[in-house]
Amino acid sequence: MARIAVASGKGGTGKTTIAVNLAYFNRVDLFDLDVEEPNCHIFIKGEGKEKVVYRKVPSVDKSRCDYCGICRDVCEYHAIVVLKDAIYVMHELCHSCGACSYFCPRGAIEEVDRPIGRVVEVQSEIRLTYGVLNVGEATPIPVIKHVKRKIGRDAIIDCPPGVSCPMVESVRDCDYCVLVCEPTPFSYHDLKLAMDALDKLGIPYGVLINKHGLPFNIEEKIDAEIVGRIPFDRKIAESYSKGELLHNYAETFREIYEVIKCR
Amino acid sequence: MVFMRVAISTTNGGLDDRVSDVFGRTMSFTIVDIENGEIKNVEVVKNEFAMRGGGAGIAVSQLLADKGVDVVVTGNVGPNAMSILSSAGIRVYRGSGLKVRDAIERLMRGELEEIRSPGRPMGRGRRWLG
Repeated sequence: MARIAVASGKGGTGKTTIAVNLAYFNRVDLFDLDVEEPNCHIFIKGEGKEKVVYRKVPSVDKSRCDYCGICRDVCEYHAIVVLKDAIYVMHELCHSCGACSYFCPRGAIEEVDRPIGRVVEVQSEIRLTYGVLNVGEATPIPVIKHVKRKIGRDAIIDCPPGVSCPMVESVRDCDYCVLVCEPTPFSYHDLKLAMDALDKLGIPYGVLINKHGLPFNIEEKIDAEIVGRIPFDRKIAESYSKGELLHNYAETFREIYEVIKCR
Repeated sequence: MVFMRVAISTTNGGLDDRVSDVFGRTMSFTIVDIENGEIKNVEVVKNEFAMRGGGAGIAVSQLLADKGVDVVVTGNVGPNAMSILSSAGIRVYRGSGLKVRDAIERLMRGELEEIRSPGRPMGRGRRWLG
């Protein structure tokens, strides 16, 4: 029983390849939390059931507003601008904290729903749930949270790249994290950042070397368990580019899952 | 009497500095009061929003509106900042690279190009990793 996140730091190391194939060949539910550009559904195909995700943003009743500016002053994200006789809400900067409506002395601010994306569920050989953030939205976190509600006791979770809020939110409630890296200095650099983040979050992790065989010796530099190696194989890239699963490596993905599911 | 308050995006600030290319994330604003065509007062305001997270252009526009600025001279202005500046009745002119002193002279002679449409947004929306 484990919720396993697949993260990386650097983008393009193979998170999706690893997550999709791990989930598929071990028949585990898959969750794509990279809601800014989800792509697991390219590999796990099927009819999707969609639900719109909303979040709260302020709406100002201009007949009550006296442009005192308190809402602007309490907004940490500069999402409200108050001029002498006008008020503007920058919805895409709003983080839905509710401070503006709470502190408005004239009760002029109401929180209203704004659609920011959707959650899609696909039932194929395995179940895939992914989020899609609408273009132009500043923060993916609310959509990520909605997808996370669908996570059961066993899951493979494809996380966004980087080590900032979207990645942190994606790994936060998992039992174990697989950090996918490739033998390059750039990947090594970002891997260290990701390891730091997971150490701070108290999440156990192991490192999976993708594109194994490239000349940079990353293994001697990292102080973490290596949970598997996927060779640097042009055929993998070709399959990936066609949206195909890596049937030639099915056994490898079963072995890796055996290692990580009991960590 | 004709009075005009001009805010110029600058680095260290002052009449001998140059107009910087960025608006929301410029290091300072040199605010110049002009009365009947003469420079009466110069104030340098450090831009504390330069290093903040999102919404620097918006916060700066608000600041300049609160300060009663009539005209901004800068390089590029993002879409959010542009809409606030125009709602506040602030006109924006392009002067990047010019010395502040020269930019003001040219502004008064009507030689600076007015910016009416926003440039590329600088803040949110960038994403490097795939």
